[in-house]
Amino acid sequence: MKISRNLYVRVALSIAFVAVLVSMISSVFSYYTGLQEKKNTNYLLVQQLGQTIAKGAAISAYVVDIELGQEIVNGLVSNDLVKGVILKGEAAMLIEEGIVNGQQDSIVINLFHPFIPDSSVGTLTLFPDDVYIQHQAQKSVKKEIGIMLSHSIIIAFFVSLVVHRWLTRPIQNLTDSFAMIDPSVPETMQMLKVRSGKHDEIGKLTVGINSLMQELHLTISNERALREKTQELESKFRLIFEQASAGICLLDEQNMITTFNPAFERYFTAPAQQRLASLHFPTLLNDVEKLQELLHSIRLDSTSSQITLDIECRVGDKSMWLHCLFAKLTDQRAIGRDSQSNLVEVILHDVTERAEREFQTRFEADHDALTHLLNRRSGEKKLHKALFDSLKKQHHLVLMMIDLDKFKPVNDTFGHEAGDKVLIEVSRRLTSRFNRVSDICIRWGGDEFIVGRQFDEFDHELVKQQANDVLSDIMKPIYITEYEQCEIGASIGIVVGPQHGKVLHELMVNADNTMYQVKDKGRGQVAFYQKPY
Amino acid sequence: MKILILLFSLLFISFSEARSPQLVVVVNKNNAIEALSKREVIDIFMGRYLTFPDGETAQPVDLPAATALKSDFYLQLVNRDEQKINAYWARLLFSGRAKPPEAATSIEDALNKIQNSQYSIAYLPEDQLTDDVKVVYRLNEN
Repeated sequence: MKISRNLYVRVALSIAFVAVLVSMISSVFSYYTGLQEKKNTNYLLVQQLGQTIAKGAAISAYVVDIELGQEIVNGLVSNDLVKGVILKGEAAMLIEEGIVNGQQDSIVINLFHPFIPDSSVGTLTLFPDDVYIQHQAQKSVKKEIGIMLSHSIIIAFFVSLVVHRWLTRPIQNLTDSFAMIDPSVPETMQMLKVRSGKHDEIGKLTVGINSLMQELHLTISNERALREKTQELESKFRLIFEQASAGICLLDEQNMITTFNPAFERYFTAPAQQRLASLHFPTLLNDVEKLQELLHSIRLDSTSSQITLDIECRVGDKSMWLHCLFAKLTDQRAIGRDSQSNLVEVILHDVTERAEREFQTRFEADHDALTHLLNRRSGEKKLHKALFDSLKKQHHLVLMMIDLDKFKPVNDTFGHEAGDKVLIEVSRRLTSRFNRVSDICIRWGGDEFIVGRQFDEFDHELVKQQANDVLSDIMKPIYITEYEQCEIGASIGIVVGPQHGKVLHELMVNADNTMYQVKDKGRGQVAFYQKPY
Repeated sequence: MKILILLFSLLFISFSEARSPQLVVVVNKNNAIEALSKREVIDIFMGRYLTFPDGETAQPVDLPAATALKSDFYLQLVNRDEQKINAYWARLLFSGRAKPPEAATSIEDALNKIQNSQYSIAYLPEDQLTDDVKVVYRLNEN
């Protein structure tokens, strides 16, 4: 059953229901009490009736006048209240009329002698009509119920009217204006209309809602402003992160990459590949184990929070240099929760070009532009270092000072370009024979070269052989152009450190002297330094 | 004055006494009944029984209406005045079963009726008694 959802209808219905129920119950109660009361009243009436008629009945009983008795009895039975009557006199005097059996409640009136007091002549038994009494009682109860019901309905109607007027309608108004409010649109959070001059509960409720809403409106606006600010900030940060030319990534404790930006991906993605080859950061770079050690030490080191390093790496078939900044991140929100979970941020950018340029610059600074051998300054530095090493390791450092013979005529005859070609070719021949990592080849001056080589054991003959090989290399013809060639020679002075000098300067002077002695003796020779006795 | 009132009172009392002769209920001398109780007298005169206690028919005889004797008799017998007695009979006349006593025209008539009928029964002042009747009940005696 669908009951109207309107409050006032439901209130009215409930009141009506309760009222009807109460009137039913009270009617039933009053029916039974009223029935009893009516019964008593009627019994009394019947008794009085009997008393009234008793005298005549007594006379009829006294003279045993059945006809008179019958008349009296008929008169009694014709009464609505009486169902049956028994008139009993002496001897054969017994008159029964109406329904005289099946009923317990009967009224017995003693009939006394009309002339002698206190002498009984018979009895008059009256049977009140219970059905009639009940009927009467029911009738009055029906009336009562009718009145009560109409009361209930009238009260319910007026209550509903009052409820509607004072409660439902204001609440409906409140609800309607409340329905206009959409919390997602703060502009709709207007003040609810307060009925002026109303200070009842609904008025208070409205005021309460208004203040609550004002508070809420303020909070939501602040929240919104904050969110917008955060979003703006976030988009800025995102822009920085995503548009950054530097690659940025975060490493967890296992050195796995948890976050990376597009630039990072670009660095480590080979042209043919779609994604990073591995999320394990060290394996992306060349020297896996060293990098892991480095990261480990960064995590353990509590003093320095960041470290910069240039690392070479190979992506696909391309090698490049990356300048990496490793920074330990302590997430402020994670403080105290898990101090071990420190992340490492890696910011890296491609420095291949710069590294190459630096390399070039250093090379140019340290090498002779024409021959690409070490120049005198850097050569001398290297020789110092080599001598120091030899002394420390008890090795021997052999220095050959080579001065070209017959170079000036070539220069004069064929020109400077030809001279340059000769110098380049000589240098190439020198480096092809002295090609160990520790070998040092220097262009000492115009046509002067120095070659240094370390030996564990000094072998005079071996060194002499090598020097002669160099000499023969130099003496081979050199093509200046496609068709023209020239031949030059060289004078080589050899000194051995530390036997011939414990400092470089001493060795150099001795080597120079030895070389000049060779030149004086006729050039094209190899000579060891001879200690003066 | 006081003496006068006293005299009047005395006179009145003695007069009343003089107006109230002793009443007796009598039957024919030949009737077998020797005495009746007050109840039996009432039952016969008020129409309850139409017979004497021995079963013989009883014919009660009344004195003329509106006489002091009749009034006295009923007052002394059932303590009712004559009007009440008339009302009583009026009630019973309706059915016709019980009849009021036959009315005599005078005391002599009443005496005659008793002398003539063995079943008659009547009441008389004591001083009017004759030898032909027999007293069966004396009122105010019990």
